[in-house]
Amino acid sequence: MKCALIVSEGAEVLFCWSDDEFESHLRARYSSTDEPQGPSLGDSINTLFAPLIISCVTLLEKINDTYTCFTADNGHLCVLHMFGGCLYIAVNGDGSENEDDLRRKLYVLKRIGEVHFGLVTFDTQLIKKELRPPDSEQCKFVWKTFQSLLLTYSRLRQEDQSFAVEAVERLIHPKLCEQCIEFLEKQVVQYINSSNERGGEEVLHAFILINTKLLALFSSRNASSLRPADLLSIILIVQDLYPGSSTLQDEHFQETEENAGSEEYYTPDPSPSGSSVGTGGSWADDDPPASAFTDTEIQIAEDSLKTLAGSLQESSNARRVFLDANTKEGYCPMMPHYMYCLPLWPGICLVLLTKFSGSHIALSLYQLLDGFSLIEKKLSEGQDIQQVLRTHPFVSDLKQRTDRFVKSLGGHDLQLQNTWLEFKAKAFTRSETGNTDELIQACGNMTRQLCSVYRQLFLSSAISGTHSLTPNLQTRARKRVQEKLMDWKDFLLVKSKRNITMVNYLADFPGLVHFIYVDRTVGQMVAPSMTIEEKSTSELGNSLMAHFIKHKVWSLVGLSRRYLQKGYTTLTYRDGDYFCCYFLWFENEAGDKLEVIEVPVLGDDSAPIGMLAGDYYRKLLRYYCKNHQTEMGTMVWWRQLISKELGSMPWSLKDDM
Amino acid sequence: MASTDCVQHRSSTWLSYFLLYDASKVKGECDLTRDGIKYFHPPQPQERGGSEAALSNRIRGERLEPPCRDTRETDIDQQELLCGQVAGVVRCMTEIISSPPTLIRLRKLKFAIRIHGDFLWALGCSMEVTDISCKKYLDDLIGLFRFYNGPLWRAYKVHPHQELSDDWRIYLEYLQRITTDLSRIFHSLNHVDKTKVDPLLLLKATLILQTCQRFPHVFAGCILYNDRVVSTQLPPPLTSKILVERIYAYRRPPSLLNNFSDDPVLPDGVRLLEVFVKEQDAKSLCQYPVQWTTRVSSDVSGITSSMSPELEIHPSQSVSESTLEKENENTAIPQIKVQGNAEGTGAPVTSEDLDVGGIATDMALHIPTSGVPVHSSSPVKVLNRHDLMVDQGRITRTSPEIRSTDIHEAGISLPSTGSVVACVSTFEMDKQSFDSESSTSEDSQVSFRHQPVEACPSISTPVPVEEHAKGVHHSEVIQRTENIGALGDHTEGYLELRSNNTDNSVVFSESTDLNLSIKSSTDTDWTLTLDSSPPVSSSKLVKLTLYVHNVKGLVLSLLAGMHFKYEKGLVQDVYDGTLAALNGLEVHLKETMPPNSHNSVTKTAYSFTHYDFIQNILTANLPSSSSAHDLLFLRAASLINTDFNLYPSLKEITVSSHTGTFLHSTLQVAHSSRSQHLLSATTRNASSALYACQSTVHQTYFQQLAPPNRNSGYPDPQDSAFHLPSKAKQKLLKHGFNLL
Repeated sequence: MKCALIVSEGAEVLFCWSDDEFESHLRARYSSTDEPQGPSLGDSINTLFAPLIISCVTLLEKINDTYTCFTADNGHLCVLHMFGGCLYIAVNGDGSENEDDLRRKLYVLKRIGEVHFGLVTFDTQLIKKELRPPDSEQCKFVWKTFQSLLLTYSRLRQEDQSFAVEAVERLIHPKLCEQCIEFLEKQVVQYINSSNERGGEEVLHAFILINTKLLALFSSRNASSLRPADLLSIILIVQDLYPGSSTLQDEHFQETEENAGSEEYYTPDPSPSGSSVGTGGSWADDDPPASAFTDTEIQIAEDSLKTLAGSLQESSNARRVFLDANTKEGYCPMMPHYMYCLPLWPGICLVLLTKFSGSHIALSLYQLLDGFSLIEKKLSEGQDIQQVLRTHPFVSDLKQRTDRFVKSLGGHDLQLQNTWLEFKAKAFTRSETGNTDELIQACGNMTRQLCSVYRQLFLSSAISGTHSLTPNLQTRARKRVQEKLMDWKDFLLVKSKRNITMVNYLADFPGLVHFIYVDRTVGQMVAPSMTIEEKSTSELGNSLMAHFIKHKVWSLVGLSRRYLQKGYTTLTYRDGDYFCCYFLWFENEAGDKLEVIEVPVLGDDSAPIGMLAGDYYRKLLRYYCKNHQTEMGTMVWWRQLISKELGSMPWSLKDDM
Repeated sequence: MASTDCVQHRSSTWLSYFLLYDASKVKGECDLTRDGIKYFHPPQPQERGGSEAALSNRIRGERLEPPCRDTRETDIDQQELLCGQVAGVVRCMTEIISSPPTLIRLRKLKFAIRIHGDFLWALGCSMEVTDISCKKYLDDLIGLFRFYNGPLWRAYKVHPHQELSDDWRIYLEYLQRITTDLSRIFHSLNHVDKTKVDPLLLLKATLILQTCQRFPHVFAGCILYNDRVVSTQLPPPLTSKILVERIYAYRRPPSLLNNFSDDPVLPDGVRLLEVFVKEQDAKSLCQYPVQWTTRVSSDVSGITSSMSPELEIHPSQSVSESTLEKENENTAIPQIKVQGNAEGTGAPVTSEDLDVGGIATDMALHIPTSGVPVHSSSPVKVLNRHDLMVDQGRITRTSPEIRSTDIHEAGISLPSTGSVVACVSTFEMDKQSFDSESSTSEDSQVSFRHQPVEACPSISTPVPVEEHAKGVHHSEVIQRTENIGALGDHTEGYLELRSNNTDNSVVFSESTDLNLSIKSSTDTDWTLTLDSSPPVSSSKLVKLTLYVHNVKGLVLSLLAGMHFKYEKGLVQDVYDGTLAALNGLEVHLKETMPPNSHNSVTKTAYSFTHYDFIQNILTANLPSSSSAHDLLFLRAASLINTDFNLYPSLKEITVSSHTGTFLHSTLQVAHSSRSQHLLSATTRNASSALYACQSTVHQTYFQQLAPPNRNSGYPDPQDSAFHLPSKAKQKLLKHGFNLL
C-alpha cells in the first residue's frame, strides 16, 4: 500500500501516485454504499490528507517546526518533506519500505521535477502550474510521466546495483570503450555538429547505454562535464522510456506513442536471438512514412500482427531536460538541454544531449535569480537593509546585470521591467523608505518574474517532442552507430549482465562473496554483477541463494548509509555467517590516502545519502577538500565468514581497480 | 558541583513535552481544546508569578535555564496548539496508514504516542533520545500512573484533578532526575554498585525481605537506597515503580476507598498505599506457595473468608489450601476446583495465605541435612516447594508432599522471583540443605546473585484446574526451565495454561475440603477489573497494598494483599520486625556509599557497558558525567542499539568515525534476546572506534581509549579497530563477561 504525493501549502494536490492497494483502501473508505459512484480518487486523497497538511503548515507557522515522519509499530509509516513551498508526502502501509527508502523516493521525485522543469522549481506558484497544468490532458500527461518515472526508479532501486548505491556503472572493456569514444567523437558528434540539419543545436554529450550501464561517454570540449547525478537521472529516464530488454511493458509502448514527436516509424525485424527479449523486429531503415504512423490504431494493429511481447518501435525520443552546466561563463544548475534517445537495439541506446541557441540565457537568469534569493535570504535573517544593499559587492553587480538583462529582453516582458523598476525604487533610492518586509516581497516578486521569463523561454512547449535535430539527421547518426556496433551487439548485451565476475577474485580472496567499489568523484562504481533471473543461474547459484545474498548486500548498503549519516566512515559487522564492511576514504591524485576528517553528523530527516537523491557526496567533498585537490572513494566490501579473515581483507584489491 | 548541575540541566532537557489529552471532552465544534487537556508539561505559568516573570516565562516552547529542576512553562495557547495538532494528526494518520502512529518525528522533536480509548498520551523528547527510548519512557510514565492511581478513567473520576496533576509532575521529575545518558539507552534499573557494597549487606537486605514475606498477606518486596535498588524480589517493572516522592506525598484518600491510609496508628515513616498491579505481575507475586505462619493453619476458613480477593485469579488459592491441608503426607492433592467467579471474586484465600512466609531463611539454614523437608509442618512443605521452585523446574520429583502442594493449578506462576531467588541464594549457602535434585540452583545462583531474575523460575505449574490428579500436577511442574530471563515468558506460559481453564475471570482452585466458596462476596469491589471501561486494556489491574517504610533514604517496600491493612497490628508487627534490621542496614550503607555516588571515573584504558537483558542489569564503567568521548560512545551505542533491535541477526558491529581525537570506547551492552541477526558491530570515528556485540541474552559495547592513530579510513589490516573484538573479549573477561 504505497502512495506519493506533492501538495501545496493550501492542501491542493499537485501530483499524486498510488498503487492499487492504496486506491482500493481509499475506495473502501470513502465510497458509501448508497452512492453509485464514489468520490473520485483525487477528492478522496484530498479529504484524507487535508488535515495532515493543514497541521503541518500550522505547526510550521507557529513553532517553526513541522512533521517529518510518522511511524506505527507495525512498520507502516508516512514520511514528509517540505521543499520550498510544496510538501512532499510518501506513505507506505505494507512495511516494505523503511524511512530511508521513502525519503529517497521523495528526493528523487523532486529531482525528476527539477530535471523536467528547471529553475521554475524555485517558485512555488509556477511549479504548481507546471505540475498540475490547467489543461487536463496535459496534466494527465505530466502525471503519467512522473508516475512512470517513480515506478521505474523503485524497480531499479530494488533490482539494480547502480541505483542501489547511486553510482554509474561502466562496462569494463577498455579497448572497445576507447574505440567507441573515438567513434562518438568523430562520427557522431562532429558529424552532427557540422551538419546543417541540426537546427541551431549543438551536441554536447553523446553516450551509449547498455541497459543501465555506460559503454562510452563523449563530451565535447567546450561543454562542461556531465555531472554524474545527471547521468544517472538520464539513465533513469531512458530506462523508463525503454525498459530493459526483459521488462518490456505495454504501457511503455503506449507511452512512447503519446510522445508525439515521432514522425518516423521503424519496423523492427525479428531479432535473431528469439529470446524472451522483445523480439522487437529489426530496425530497418525505412523512409519516414507519413504522420499517419502516429495513429495509435495503426500501430496497435501492426503490433497485433507481430507476436511480440513488446517492442521498441519508437524511433526516437526527444525530451527537454535541465541539467547542470559548469561553463567558463559560470555555473548554472539547470541549463536546458535537449535529450535525444535513440534506441539502437533492445537494451542498447544512444543518447545525445544538445544545447540550443538561447540556452545561455538560462545562465544569466540563474545568476540573477541567485542574487535576488541571496538578498532575500539575508534580509529575512534580519540583517540590516543598508548593510545588505550598500556594502555587499554583489548587489551592485547584480544591479548592473539586471539592467542589462532587462534591456536585452527588449520590450517583451513588461512585467519584468515594471517589477525591476519597483525593486529599484524600493532598494536603491535615497529616500530609504523601504522596510525589510517590503523589500523581501520585492525580491520575491523579482524572483517570480525571472522564473516566469525562464518559463516562457524554456517551458512553453511540451516536455517531449521538442527537437530541432531533424529526424533524418537522427536516423543517420543512429545508423552509423548501429553499423559500428553491429558485431558487438550480442556481446555487449551479455557483458552488461556479467560485467565483472567474482571468479577473478575468488582465487586471491577466498570467502569474498561480493564487493562494490565506488569512486565518488566521478560517481562510478565497479562491482560484480548481481543479476537475479528466475530462469538463468547466475554466479551466485540458484535464485534463492542469489536473492538472499542480494538482500544482504542491500541491507549492507542501507546500514552503511545510516552510519555515514551519523558520522561513521568505517563500519564492519557480522550478520549471521557473513562479515560485512564498509569504508570511506579520501585520496589525492597520486593515490595517497589522506587524513580522515570528521564527517558531519546529520539529523534523521536530512537529505538521503546518495547522488540521485540529494547530493551528499558533493557536499562532503566540498566540506573536506576546501582548497585541496582530492578524490574520494568509497569501498563497500562484503565477505563471508567462512574465510574468517576479516582482519586481512583484500586491501591490495584496490590497486587492481 | 557545576558539572553535576550541568549534567542535571542537560539531563532534564531531553524531555520537552508531556501531555495527556482526553478527546471525549472535545467532541463538538465549540468545545475548547483546553477542556480536553488533562495534563500538560511544562505547565502553565502561575498566575501569581508576577507579570514580568510570567511574561518572560511565556516564551513559546522555549526553555528557561533551570538550575536543577525543570521550570519551563508553556502558556495555554501553546498547550492548546500542541494538543490539538497532535491529537488531530494522530487521528488523520491512523486513517492514512491504517494503524495508529506510535512515533511522530518533527525536525527538532519527537513524540511518542500512546492511545487508549479516548485518551491520548504524548511524550516529546529531543532528537538525541532514540525512538525506542522515547516510547519506553512514555510507557514508564503511564505505568507509574497506573500503578499508583489505577486505570485512567477511574482515576480521573475518583481523584481530584489537581492531585493527579501533582502525580504527573512527580513522575516527570523523577524520570528526568534518575535517567542518565546511559540509562536512556538501555532502560535499566539503577542498582547500587555491587562492587562497592559489602555483599553481606546485600544478603542482609535479602534476609529482611524474606522475613517480611513470612507475614501474612505480604507477597514480596524490595529495598531501595537513595533510589537505587539494593535488593528486590519484585520483577523489574514493579521495582521501577517504587517512587518515594509519590508515596510520601500527602494525599487525602478518595472518598470511595476505605479510609486507611491516614490510619493514625501508622508508625513513623511508614505509609500504606493502594496500588494497582498488572494481573500477570500480581499473579507472579502471589504464586507464593508457602504457607508459613501458624495463623494460616489454624483457621483456614477464617482466613480465607476474611481475605479479600486481590486477584481475580487465585490459582494459588488451592495451593495454599493444599499446603494447609498437607498436614500429612500424601494428602490428596487439593481438589482444585475452578470456581466460577460469580461475583467476580474468588476467595483469594490462597494468595493471602500464600504470601505468608516464603521460606524463612532461617528455616532454610536449618534444614536438616537430609534435605528432606520436615513433613510435619507446612513450612517445611513450603520449603520443599521452594526446593522445587528453586530448582527452576528442573526438579521434577520431590517428595510426595511437594507433589501435592505444588499445585499451582490454574497456572499460577511461580512464586515471585524474589523469594525464589532468595531461596536460592540461601540454598547456595547451605548446599546441604538441598535436595539432590536441586542441582539447578547452583546453576541459577550465578544468575541470581545480583538481582532476582525477572521471570520467575518457570516453576509454574499451570495445571488446568480440572486436572487435579495427584501426580499430574507434579509432572507438570514446570519443566520450563528456560523461562528464566525470558521476559514475560513465564507469564505467557502461565496465561496460556490459564486459558485451558475456564474463562478469564477468576479462576482459582481450592481445596474441596475447605469450603472456600465464601470468597467474600463483600469484597467483590476490590477485584474489579479496574480497567474495564476502555476496551483495550492490555491487562487487568489488581489492587494491592503497598507498605513502605523509609529509614533515612533506605526504603523498604512490600507488596501485600488488600487485607494487609485490615489486620490489626499486622502493620505494627512488620514495622517492629524490620525496624532494627533496617536501621542497621542503613547505617552500614551510609558508611560504604556516599548518598549520591556517581560512578567514579576510573582511569581505565577502556570504557564499556554490558547490559543483561534477562536480569535487566547494566554494568558500565562510564562516569555519569559524560565527557566528550563518552558522548561519542553514547551516540554510537544508541545507534547500534537501535540496529541490534531492528536486525536480530546482526551479531557484531564495529564502527569508526573520523574525528580529531582518537578514542576507543568499548561498550558492552547486552540487550536483545530478540536480536539474532545483528550480532556484533564495530564503528569507528577517526577519533573513536566502537565495538558492539549482542547475543540472545545480552548486549555489550566496548570502546578503547588509546593514543591517536593516524588512519585514513582506507581498509587497512593494521587498523587497530579490527583488533577491537579480540581486545574486547580479553578485557571484559576480567569483568566477568564472556563474549562469545
